[in-house]
Amino acid sequence: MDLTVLLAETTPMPEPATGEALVAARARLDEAAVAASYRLRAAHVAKIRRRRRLLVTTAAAAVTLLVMPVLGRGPGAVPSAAAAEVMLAAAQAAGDQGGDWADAAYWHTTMELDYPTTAGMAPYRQELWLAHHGDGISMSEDPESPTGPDGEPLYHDAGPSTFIAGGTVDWDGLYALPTDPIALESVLRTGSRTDNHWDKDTQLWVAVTDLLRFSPASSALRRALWQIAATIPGVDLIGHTTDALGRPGVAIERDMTDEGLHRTRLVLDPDTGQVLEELSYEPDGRVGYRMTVIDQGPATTAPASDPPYCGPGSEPHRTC
Amino acid sequence: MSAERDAESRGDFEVLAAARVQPELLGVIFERHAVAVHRFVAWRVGGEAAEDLLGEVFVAAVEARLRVRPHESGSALPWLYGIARNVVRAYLRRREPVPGWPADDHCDWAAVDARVDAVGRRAELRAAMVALTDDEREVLLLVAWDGLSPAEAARVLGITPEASRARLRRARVRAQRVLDDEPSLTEGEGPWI
Repeated sequence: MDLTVLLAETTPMPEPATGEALVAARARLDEAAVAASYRLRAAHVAKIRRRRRLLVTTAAAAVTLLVMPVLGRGPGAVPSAAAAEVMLAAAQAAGDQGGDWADAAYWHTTMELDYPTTAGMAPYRQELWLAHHGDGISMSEDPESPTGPDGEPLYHDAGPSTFIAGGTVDWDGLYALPTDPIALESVLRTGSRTDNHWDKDTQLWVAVTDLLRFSPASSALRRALWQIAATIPGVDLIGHTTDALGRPGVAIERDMTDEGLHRTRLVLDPDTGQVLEELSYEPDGRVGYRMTVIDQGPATTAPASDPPYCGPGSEPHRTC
Repeated sequence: MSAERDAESRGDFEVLAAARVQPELLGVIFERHAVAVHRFVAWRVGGEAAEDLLGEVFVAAVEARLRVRPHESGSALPWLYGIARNVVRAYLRRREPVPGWPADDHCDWAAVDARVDAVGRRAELRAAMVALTDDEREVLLLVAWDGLSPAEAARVLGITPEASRARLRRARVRAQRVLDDEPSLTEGEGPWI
């Protein structure tokens, strides 16, 4: 007997699903989806203790409840609901990572930088070791950076690590920051500058996103930073995208051109709350700057810094 | 429901990506694939049980949506079948084995027995199925009875397409060898006695 014929003759032909069965299954799915939506928001809602504004929207199959914290802003200033939802999900994901690097020696970031509108400039790699104690180390494959005798990139002293968080703090100061979003926002706003023309929300956005991108912030601090970011107005959800390395992510954007900055996009990994990529746009819409995080995490060692090299025949520390 | 309507023109994996932060968009995936998922489950557990398990598959999909990665076919069906397979196995795990049929939890072999007996092919099919390993049998039936390609079967089973094709080749050779060795299989005869 031929196997193909046997299998064809015995192929099952079950009765199709009844209408009632499909309706019942769909109802179970919808119920589970509503519960999942609540979970995306529920983790942070309990922590917000200040004055709130409730926005209630209804859909044909479900009711979603969105709680938007309003922290000292003028009436009508509310972040895009969809972008806020993404950032709140990032907060939960970041908190779930459970990382704490208070005792790490270094925070190592490998990134690719690109200035597409700069003629003759190709993307290049840059590495940074932020030091917990002492000086950090940096290395750039930027064609403008000095290289060694064989054209190899040089490792340079990068100075002590400092972070802007309501003033300048070091690594231990970063870990002393509150991880409650209300208290943390109060600290971050304390350092608001009055000598530039950025409004206070833009200053807060810059402070928050800088810490999310490059600092050894703990998972608890990252969660609070995303929770604060979710309350900042003017952030739009662009949607799902892939970064320059092909990794899937969600893009959010804030246009700060009115304040002399750029329209800036962040691509984040919704599963971890990590920032994968940052892009800035020229007024004509082209990407003027791209920073893609290739890898980031704690390190126990960093390369030694190279002595300065000033061309063939030079002697470090003597000829330059 | 407007978000769902907007998503209706998008491919499965674009919808699933959006569903990470808008889980209600899984409704689009349900409307596209629930009938196929029901069929996948129904021949394995019977129609009555399938009507209950269909909801369980999509409830499990709400959680699994956070980990899904695109399949080359662009269809979410292999991913859903993978979830359905786990739901079926959990349902069948406590069943007693059916005499003469494989002692696996891939399907209700008692239901298969009744069906193939009706077309007079019980002996041949039983011989062919018992000759195979669990892995070989599963990929053979995913291709032959669920109509999947070897690559889609690989996605359901969580193995590489190469491993899927290798198992399928072995399954076909071994099953055919049993059928060739016993050309006059009838009730009461066969390698299981």
